Amino acid sequence: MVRTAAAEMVGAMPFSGVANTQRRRWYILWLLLPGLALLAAITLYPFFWLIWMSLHEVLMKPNTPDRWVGLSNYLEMFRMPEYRRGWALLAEYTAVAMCLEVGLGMLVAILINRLKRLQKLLTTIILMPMMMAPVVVGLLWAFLYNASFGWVYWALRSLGILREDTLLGNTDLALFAIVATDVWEWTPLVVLIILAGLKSVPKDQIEAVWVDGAGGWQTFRRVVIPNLKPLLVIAILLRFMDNVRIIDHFIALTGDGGPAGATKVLPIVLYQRAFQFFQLGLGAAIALTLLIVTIIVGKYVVKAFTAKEVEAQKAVLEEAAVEGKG
Amino acid sequence: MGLIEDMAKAQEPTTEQEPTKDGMTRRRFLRNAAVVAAGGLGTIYLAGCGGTTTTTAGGGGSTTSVTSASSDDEKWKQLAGKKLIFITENTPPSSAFKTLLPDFTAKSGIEVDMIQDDDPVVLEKVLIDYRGESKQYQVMYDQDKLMGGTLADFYLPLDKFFTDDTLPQAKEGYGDDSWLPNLLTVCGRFFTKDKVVGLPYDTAIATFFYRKDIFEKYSAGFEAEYGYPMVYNSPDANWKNILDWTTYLKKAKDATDPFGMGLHAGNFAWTVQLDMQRLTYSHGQWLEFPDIDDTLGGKKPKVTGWGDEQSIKSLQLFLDIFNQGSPDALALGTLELSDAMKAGKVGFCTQYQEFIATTEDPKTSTVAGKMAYDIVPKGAKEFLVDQSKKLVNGSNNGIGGISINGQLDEDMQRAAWIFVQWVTSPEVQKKAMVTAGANPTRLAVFEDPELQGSAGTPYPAGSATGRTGGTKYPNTMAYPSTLPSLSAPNIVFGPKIPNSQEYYTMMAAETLSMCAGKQTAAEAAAKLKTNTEAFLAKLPG
Amino acid sequence: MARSVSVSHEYVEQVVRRRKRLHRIGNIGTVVFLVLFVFWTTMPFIIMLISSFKASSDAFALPPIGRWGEAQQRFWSFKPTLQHYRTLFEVEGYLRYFKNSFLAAGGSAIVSLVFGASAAYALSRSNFRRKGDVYFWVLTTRMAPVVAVLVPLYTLFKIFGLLSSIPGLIIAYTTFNLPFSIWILKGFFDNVPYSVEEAYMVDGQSRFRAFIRTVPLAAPGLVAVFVLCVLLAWNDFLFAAIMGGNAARTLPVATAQLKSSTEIRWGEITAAGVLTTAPMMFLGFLIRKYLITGLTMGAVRE
Repeated sequence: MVRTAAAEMVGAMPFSGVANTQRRRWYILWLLLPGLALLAAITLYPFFWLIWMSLHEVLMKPNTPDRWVGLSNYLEMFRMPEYRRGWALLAEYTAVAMCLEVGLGMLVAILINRLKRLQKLLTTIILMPMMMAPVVVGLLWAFLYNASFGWVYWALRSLGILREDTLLGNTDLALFAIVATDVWEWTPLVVLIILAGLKSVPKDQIEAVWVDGAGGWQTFRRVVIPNLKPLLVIAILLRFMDNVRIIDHFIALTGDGGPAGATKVLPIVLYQRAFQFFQLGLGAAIALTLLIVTIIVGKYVVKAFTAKEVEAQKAVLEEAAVEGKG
Repeated sequence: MGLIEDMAKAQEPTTEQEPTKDGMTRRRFLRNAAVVAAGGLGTIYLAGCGGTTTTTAGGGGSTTSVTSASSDDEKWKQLAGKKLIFITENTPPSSAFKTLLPDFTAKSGIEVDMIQDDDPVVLEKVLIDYRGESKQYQVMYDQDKLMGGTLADFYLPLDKFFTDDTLPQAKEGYGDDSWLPNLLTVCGRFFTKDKVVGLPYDTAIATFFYRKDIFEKYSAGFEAEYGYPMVYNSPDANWKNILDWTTYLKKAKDATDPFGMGLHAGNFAWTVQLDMQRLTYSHGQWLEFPDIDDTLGGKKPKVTGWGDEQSIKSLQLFLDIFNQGSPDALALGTLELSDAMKAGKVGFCTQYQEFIATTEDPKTSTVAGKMAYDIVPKGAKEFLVDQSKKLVNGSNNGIGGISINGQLDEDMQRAAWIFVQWVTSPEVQKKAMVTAGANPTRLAVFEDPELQGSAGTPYPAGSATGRTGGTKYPNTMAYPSTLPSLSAPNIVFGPKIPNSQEYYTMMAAETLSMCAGKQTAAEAAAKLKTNTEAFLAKLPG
Repeated sequence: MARSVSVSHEYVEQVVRRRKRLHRIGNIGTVVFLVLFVFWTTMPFIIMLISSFKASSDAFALPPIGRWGEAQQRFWSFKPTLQHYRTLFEVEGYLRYFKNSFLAAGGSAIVSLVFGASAAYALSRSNFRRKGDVYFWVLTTRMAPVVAVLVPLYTLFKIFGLLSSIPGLIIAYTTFNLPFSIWILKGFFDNVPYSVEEAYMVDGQSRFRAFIRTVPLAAPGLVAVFVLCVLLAWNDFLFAAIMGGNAARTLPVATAQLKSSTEIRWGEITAAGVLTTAPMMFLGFLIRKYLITGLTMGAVRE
């Protein structure tokens, strides 16, 4: 059975009703403090720095204080066509990548689940891409996609899938080429998540539906999918968090923005403004908008996690109630 | 004070203390006092022009001092024990110099740590150093257009060292004539003629690379259709020829043969600008910023040439050539273009001289021995709007200077100078040529008989290149075209402006958008005009 | 009556046969698809591995489009050479980068484990009002765009002299490894019932000793988290590229720099790719049982 943090939490509530609450609190604090203090130092400081920086402009002269510019960085940012395009490309990239990863991942998981033997071997093999550094993945695929000596490029041309003499130079295809590398690296993660979910679909639910006379597809629809839903949500959101953050393979594959800027997603725009143009104020503004959107979506992640916990909690309690009666 | 500056100043460990008003640090004063007290061996000399120079030896406790009459060895070793950090590009010339550093340390006792990084990172680190006055880097590479325009005020004026007899000096001196034409102004003079802030360190010269064997193979068929042969007759071979050859190759070539002209249309914005600039300058010496001096640069240009009729015609020519070239062009920045050439996918292109070494290396290149190198193409009258203007072989390049941190104190300045004059001296440059096939900036090296002897030779008809055997200095293969490429009327050195990277990125974005079919040449020219004017308006000053 | 029985018997046989055929087709389809998937997943590694042993001139040689036979031959027949590996170790000094990666990743994993275990234990055994907010805060640290935190961290590190140093990298990596380890270890500690500590304390041990004694019971979790922290830190590129400088250059950064300014050294890049990935594959294989738990931050447990 897929167990979650919450299920255990229900079982391990140690301090309810324990006396001597004062000593308990200090004890907890001592253990928590080092970790949280370290975390605070290295995470809160950047956040406040970004806010402060986004309201100023950095002047490249010695001993010159940063100039207060109020909201003008934000105004400039919203007016930049690069900024709007950056969001559009990021959204396109993320949406396509996640659809492919989840769809393909689900299909592969179902198929692996059908096999009686070889499952362990298969799951071990498909671990491989996840272990690779994203920048190395980018370099490897830059090698494979290269129109002069890349084997994937050659195979695509020989199979007739690619008509033109270029892949990374094609403004329409370049972004999808990068999507493909992300799908290559992370679909196995989705596969393994869903596989774990498939194995833990409660047998009695399946049996109940079988007895009712349902065929394979109906079983799938009425039993498997509802059980998988929370896991799917987690897979989607985990991938989302990574897709908006990680640009290592972008840098390795198409550098500053791809053919005519076709792969210039917003984190790349930020990278360029901050580290190449030193427009730190503008960069901070862009960074904050990226951060806020990710946090808003992140709230849904936590809701999904805790919803699962709440569900599992309820399930456990129900089980306990049933057993208690029986 | 700025938040960052406060924190930086408070905490940054500096290698030297800040000078007090009269130019002496407390530490040096105490050291001087100790020296005097130790028996009067120390003396304070006035040397050089316009400045108090206290010359005492560092480290080790030696108390000799240096005069104009000192021996060479003493002059070299006067600041032994000091340590310099030299931050520079990640390129073969610097890598070559790195292997020679132990020689320098042996000669001067000064230890040099060379940090190599990509250009934008070098710029970033130096900028942060400059703002925070942390004096972390004593010597820095100063790419004329990329960095110099932004950092000119940071660099130490070097004029005072040229005639300072208490320091070791190159016997060729540092006058404009001791370097390849114009280089001293380009690397060392920014916005004003009054001071020199950098010495020429290395230069990448734009050269036309082409597949001699392909030219010979298709010449007959081409001539039948176009009425003249496919032969690169420099210096008259022009951009119209390039367009014709590229168009012909696209439709008539065998599947395994390369496409025609390779443009720098990839991810490196600066080389896109350079590529386009060669084309635009060839036609009437058109300038992007006509109101500033081309070699000195300007802090705030007022007008831009974009949007005028010549710019539209040039953009259209660029687009036409692009459309006939390799379909992969948008993925081919400078590095990838070199790869494509080596793999035999591109037939000719303008590339930087330093790439000759790898292109001629049979271990990595399938076209070694089949290439020829010549001067860049000339403008063609078909694309010239104002016929009274000149057609030239428009050439440009990124020239690297080497500069000293202007915030250093006296001793470190001198130590840095000892290194700078060593690394730009003819002997050292010639040695570096062997290791990595770099490009000398010293005229003496360029004119060295051994190097001249290994330079490119005319090729007899019928054979690919006529060259036999490998050469010790592969980059000299472009020598016949080097001097004309660096001289008037062909060379365009600018634009030396601040925040140049932002300009390049914008310019490349609009040009490549046109190449990708998203806008016409006229629209691109209009966008370039508006965007450039907005960029100029934002410049400080 | 007998007739209808015989009809339904044949009908049943038909249905059974059809089902069996579908099942077999399904099986064949499954196998074919999975073979393709495995092929697609592993082929890039094989290409990388083989290219790393090919001399550059061999690696650049593509057959003409469509000639599959020639492709086979060109790909597999070559003279293996160790030159790229040798260049990496002798000229580029890859041993130093291995050491740097090892120290930075290992150091960060240890720090994250120690600080994270104590924080996770406390979170597990506690019940205070702001717990949900603390969880959310821990999770948001995994959401920040890397580039966004790099600039402020860079200035902070510069002040404390942490740039271009291994300790600096360790701290930088801890920014994402610490929340990660807190989150996962909390789940593992939840698995250890409080009765264990109660037993120790009844025996007369102090709370702290009970804590120390309990921690090993979550050993599989500790090992898994340690390995995952090493993995995340080892594979990082941006932090090390911007803040590691020269002295603390790690393997991914060194590999990316093989794209020098005059050449993209593909031969060395493939070899460096093999060197950077092989240790992580080995580690991943070791903890494959806990990999999913780790990578999903504890949401999925087997």
